[in-house]
Amino acid sequence: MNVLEINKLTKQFGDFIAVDNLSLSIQDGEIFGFLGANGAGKSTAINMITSLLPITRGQIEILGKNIVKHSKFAKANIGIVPQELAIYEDMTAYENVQFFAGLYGLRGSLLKSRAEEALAFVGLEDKHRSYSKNFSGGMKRRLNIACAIAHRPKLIIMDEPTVGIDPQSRSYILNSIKKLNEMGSTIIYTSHYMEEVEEICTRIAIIDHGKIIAQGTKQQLKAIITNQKNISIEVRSVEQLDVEKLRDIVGVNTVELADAVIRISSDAEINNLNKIIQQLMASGMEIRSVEADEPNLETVFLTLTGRSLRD
Amino acid sequence: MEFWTIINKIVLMLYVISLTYVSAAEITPWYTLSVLLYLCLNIAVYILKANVMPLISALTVALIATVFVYVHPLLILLLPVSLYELVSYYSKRSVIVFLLMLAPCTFLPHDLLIEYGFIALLSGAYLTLLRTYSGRIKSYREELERMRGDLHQLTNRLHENNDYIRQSEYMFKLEERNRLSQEIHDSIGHSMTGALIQMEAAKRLITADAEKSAELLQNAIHISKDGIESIRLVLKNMKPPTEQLGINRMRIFIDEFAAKHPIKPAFTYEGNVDLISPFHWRIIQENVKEALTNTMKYSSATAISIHIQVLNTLIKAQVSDNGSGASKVVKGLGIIGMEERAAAVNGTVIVDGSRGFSVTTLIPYQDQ
Repeated sequence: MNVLEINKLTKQFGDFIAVDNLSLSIQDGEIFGFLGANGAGKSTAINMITSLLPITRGQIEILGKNIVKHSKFAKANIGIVPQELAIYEDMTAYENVQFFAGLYGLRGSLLKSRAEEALAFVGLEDKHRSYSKNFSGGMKRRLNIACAIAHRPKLIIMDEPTVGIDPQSRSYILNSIKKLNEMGSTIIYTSHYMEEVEEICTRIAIIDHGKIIAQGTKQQLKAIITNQKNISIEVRSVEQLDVEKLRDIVGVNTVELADAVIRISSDAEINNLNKIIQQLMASGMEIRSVEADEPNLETVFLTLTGRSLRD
Repeated sequence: MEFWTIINKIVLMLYVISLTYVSAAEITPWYTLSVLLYLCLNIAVYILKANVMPLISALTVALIATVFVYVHPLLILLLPVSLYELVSYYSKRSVIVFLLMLAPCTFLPHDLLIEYGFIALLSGAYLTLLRTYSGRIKSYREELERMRGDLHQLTNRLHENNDYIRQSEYMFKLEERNRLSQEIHDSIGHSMTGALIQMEAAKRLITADAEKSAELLQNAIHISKDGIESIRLVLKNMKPPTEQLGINRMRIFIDEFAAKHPIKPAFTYEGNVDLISPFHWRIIQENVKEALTNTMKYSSATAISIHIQVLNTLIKAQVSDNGSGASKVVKGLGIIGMEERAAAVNGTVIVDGSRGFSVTTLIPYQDQ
């Protein structure tokens, strides 16, 4: 069963269409990335999934149940880490987690143990009694995550959780997302940081002007642009080079020589850099530099929309 | 609306007449005349043209006022409905209409006040409800009509598209057949004839001059070999050059556009445009056309560029201008049409108004 199934979802504010006929399904165990520039409609879509915004048209199903008809069920199975921090600054870390978990109906000793577990998970177990107003941006984010996961939801939605935080907290958060995923949660992750999405997501939807313009795995998305990668190898001299032998390596399509640079175009899916270098070394070449240039998600986005993600 | 207003008036009139019967005052011929006059005026409203209706209503109001003073005070109870009709020609605000209906209260004798007020309120509420309701029906009907028009237009366009597809398929067939017969005539036909002549000659010489005959036969063999080779070549080249057709059509279209408008769009393409099928070309061209039309209509741009790019699994066709753009894109029939065309082949259309205006059509394709 799909954890999340969205069918022709549309959100209209007057004349303005923020989310336009969006359909997608997310299976159990995925880390699904929403990649798009600011204002592309990611947060609007998320706010509809979490029932914070009414739906103009279309349906959303969580674990096979419509979120409008079974709103209580849907809410109990979603944990959300919103874009804006949602914690009480004049409560301690522990009180915050307890409060939010309490909203989901956890009580008594279960509440205590889950709250402690969640705090330990985000690495704040030694800050139990500290007031969150004294926390750094990264710690506040982590506390926010703890609040969202204490009730062990099936689907965790993280809306730009790494905006404006220090690098350590960022890598901590990315690691904990992977860990949560391994523990059985399905995760929706939105970001306009291409590197993060590329690092952690199993499947990605590129969203622009409220529409999904492409979705699939990293490889599938990159394959939209090209199935070739370019390798440039600078050597001292190309005189003793046997071009035919290079061409015979699996995946290599074309080999061009320009001064002391060998330009190889090869299938992006095949990892043959080792073989190429071995071949060059075997023929006694002195390699000065190697550059491999593969398309990344930023290029994909740029090519499809004509704009960069940071615009 | 009319029907229910008439019923309201009839009920009111019957009420007034019966009230007069019951009351002590005697019924004079003048009274009958007034009632008949009132009836006549109200019927005339529906017979005469629409533009004299305010006049008739005003006359009715005047009649009622006169008979109230000179004939019978109870007749004033007919006033609210006529007053409503008169006022609602000039004001759409229900509050104003209500207030004006209640205005005569100030002149009325005390004993009639309550009855008049009650009738005014009741009729007012009834007629207002009726007016909103019929207004709504009217707007729904208009909406329905508009949608029917849209539907009609879209169906037409669909038919046109289907026709075009059929036509272009036929065109391709013809073009291909033409080419093929030309090729056969030019190369294979000639070599076959040549070989035949050589063989005929060899047959004649076979007894007289065996050596010459063998030479001729060898010639025939060579010519036949060349013939076979050219058949192979023809078959190899037989794939129709769709890309040239598509690109050329696009160029012709852009030239036509430039002739009619002050801007000449810059057209560029990259990637292997062979891979774009005629059907996809059709969609691309329609969308480009629509986008260009929109640009000319709204953008006040001075430059337009059209770029077609064939990626690994996707065709991208972008029309962008340097005009005023739009911070908020409102989807009209044009954009919806582009989206529908693209959606028919699992594609999408991105409309962006943040830097100039750009319309990008993305169409996935299968690499065969």
